[in-house]
Amino acid sequence: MKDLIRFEYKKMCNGISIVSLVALSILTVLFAIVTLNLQYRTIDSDGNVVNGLASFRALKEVSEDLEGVLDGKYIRGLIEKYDSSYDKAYLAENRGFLGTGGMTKYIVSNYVINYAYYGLYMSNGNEKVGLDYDFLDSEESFYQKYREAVLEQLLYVNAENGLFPHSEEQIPVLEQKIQNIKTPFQIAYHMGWANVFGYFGMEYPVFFIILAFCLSGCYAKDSTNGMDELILSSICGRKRDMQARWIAGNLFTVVFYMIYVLVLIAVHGGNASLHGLGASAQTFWFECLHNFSVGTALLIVFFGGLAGALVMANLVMLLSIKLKNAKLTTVFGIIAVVLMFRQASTYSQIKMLNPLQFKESALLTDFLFVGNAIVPYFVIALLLSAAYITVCWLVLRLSYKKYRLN
Amino acid sequence: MIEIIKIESKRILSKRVFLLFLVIVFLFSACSTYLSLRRYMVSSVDGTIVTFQENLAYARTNQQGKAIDRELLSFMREKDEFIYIDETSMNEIVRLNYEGKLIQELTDEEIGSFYQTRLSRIRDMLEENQYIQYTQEEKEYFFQKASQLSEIPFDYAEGWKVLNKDMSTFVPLLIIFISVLLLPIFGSDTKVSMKELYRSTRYGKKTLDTARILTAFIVGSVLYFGGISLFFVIRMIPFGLDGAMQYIQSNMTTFFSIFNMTYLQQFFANVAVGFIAFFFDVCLLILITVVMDKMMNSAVVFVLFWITLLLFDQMYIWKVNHYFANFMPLRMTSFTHYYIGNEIYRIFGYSLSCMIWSILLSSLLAGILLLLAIGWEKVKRKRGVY
Repeated sequence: MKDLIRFEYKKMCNGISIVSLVALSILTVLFAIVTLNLQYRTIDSDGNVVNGLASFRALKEVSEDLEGVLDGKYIRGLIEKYDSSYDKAYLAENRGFLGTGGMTKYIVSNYVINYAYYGLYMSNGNEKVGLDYDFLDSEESFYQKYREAVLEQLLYVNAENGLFPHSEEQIPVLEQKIQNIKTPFQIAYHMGWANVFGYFGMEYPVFFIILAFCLSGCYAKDSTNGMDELILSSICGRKRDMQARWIAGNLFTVVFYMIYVLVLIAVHGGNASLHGLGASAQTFWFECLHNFSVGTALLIVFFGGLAGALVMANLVMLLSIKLKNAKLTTVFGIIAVVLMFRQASTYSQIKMLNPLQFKESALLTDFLFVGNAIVPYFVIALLLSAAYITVCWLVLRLSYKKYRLN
Repeated sequence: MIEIIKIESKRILSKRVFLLFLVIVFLFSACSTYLSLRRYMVSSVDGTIVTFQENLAYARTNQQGKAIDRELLSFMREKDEFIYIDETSMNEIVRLNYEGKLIQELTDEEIGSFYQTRLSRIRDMLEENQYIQYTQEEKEYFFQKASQLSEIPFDYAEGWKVLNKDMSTFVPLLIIFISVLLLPIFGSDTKVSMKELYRSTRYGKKTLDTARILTAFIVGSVLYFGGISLFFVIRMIPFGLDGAMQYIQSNMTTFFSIFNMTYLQQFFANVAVGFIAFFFDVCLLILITVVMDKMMNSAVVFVLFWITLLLFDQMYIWKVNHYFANFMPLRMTSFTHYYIGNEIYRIFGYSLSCMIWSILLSSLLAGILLLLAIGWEKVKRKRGVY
């Protein structure tokens, strides 16, 4: 079996896969460099505006003095620094700076503080970096305000668009969960990881399309690495070889996914550095209820993304065995991705069932109540992925014996 | 040669494939028309539903012989509710012209200066454009073009408005669909090992390559114009052909356009630009399939090219659009920006509109791609690859 899997895996690493991987890597590099270079700018230590890719390095350099624990002393120091900074004066003059790709070293710390004030109305922009708030008098009052903002946002979102409205008993559980958020937060520059996360989200559907191309020939009869008379008539050709193909297909997806994520991390790390893994997840996902660092949170995102990709891989393999035609499988695979993409763009909470959603911020911020227990969405996403893959595998298994070339 | 073109055409476009093409275009057009018509179903004051037939019939009768003038604006000002499409359109145009002001709030003076207000808004747009610094001559040229329109006829033209709007969705999809059908023209299928056989025949080299390129353009063009015609017919059946000679400024989307053209001219301009985009796309496809050889490999590269365009389109970065995306099929077929974007290119001292320069440069790029493909084939033949 091991040999069969190895051979099937090798067959999958054919011209289509290599072309796909190269094309995806070029797309990842090109898209990141062009868009980051043309959009971003920052204020450096001398008060100059640095444009393009260099802005991230400049931002990292000036952000070093703001790294630390967001406690009372830090807040007082931050207010002093910000009030006397060139950045504040510049932002007052250039009203659209932060909303149009502009960055300042204060965005990480000041945005999380402003979230406590604005809550669900928080966004990026010049008007949301100010520090003129009474609740900043003490660390306790800031975190109290922050927790109130999280609770207000979560209750509002549930009331407006939740799958199941919270019961009276569940609200105290949620309050307790919010109280358990570990404070004070760790502040650090994490723009490189922010870019990794942002671009990963944008390009994730492209990876699904690549899977549709690479795995469409798995059980097809019109593909060089598909099924033919020779394979079907050999002793291991039906049940064992088909099972080996399924395992190889999943293995192939894992390997390809890891390569893609590594390319993405290399591109954005090379550009904006991979600093900031130790920062609190709440400085990135304000309403995150879990006591994660940015690094742990991103690991969950990547793991969720892998689960979604495996679901797509299994769907393509299922289409391949049913249609037995690589080109048709690719077309239907792409149509499936387009439908998933459109569904994921709606406000409907049904999108939580969509594999394309398994890489979103929702993994870290959303949850479901089962009785009075809070189940995070990343757990639900993993369970859903397991369920989808099992269903696909069962249908595939049922098709092994019935597979006919004509 | 003609025989080979006929055979290649049959290989690419069998009756079954052609029928499938027509069915898909028909279904898309029908669904798109249905969705457009649903937008015309509105509630009246007493809560009853106004069907799209009633809405369109009302607008057709009511708008007959009307123009946006003092009389129409004064009449509209007296209305309490805007239900039918002619009323809501007029209301939207007024809101655009007077920066959010409701028609009921207009004074007699404001009504009297409707066209001057429009001109001053256009002037503001030109002066406040954050991407292009227009020269005085350019501003004067634009302004002079805009001021030529002293009265905008406001007759019924809903069909044309909807048609021109939805072409931005239909044309790129049509181009992609045709490209998928043309993929096998040079892309070989690994399971069909006929290449060695036909390449060793008398006409299997240069003549076949030329015939295939011609086939791609002939079949593609037939499908492009066939698809557009079908879409046009299905689109216009429920709306009617009325309003073809109306100015595009009677549509709120193109109200501030400086191009004084009719809906019919806009439709033909869209079809022509779409055809250039299609031409570029086919040339690129030919180059990809000639270089990659295998059909599925070519498909991967082709799909990722379109995905790149889509990703850039989502980001909307002006420099990317201005120096790259404007000459690529996706943004070329996003037609509205030609009429309201006021984007210009300065080439050798001449100011060219975005539409003209996109057509010229895209055609040039398409020609280069085609030459590269022909050259690549020649190199392959010389090297004895086949």
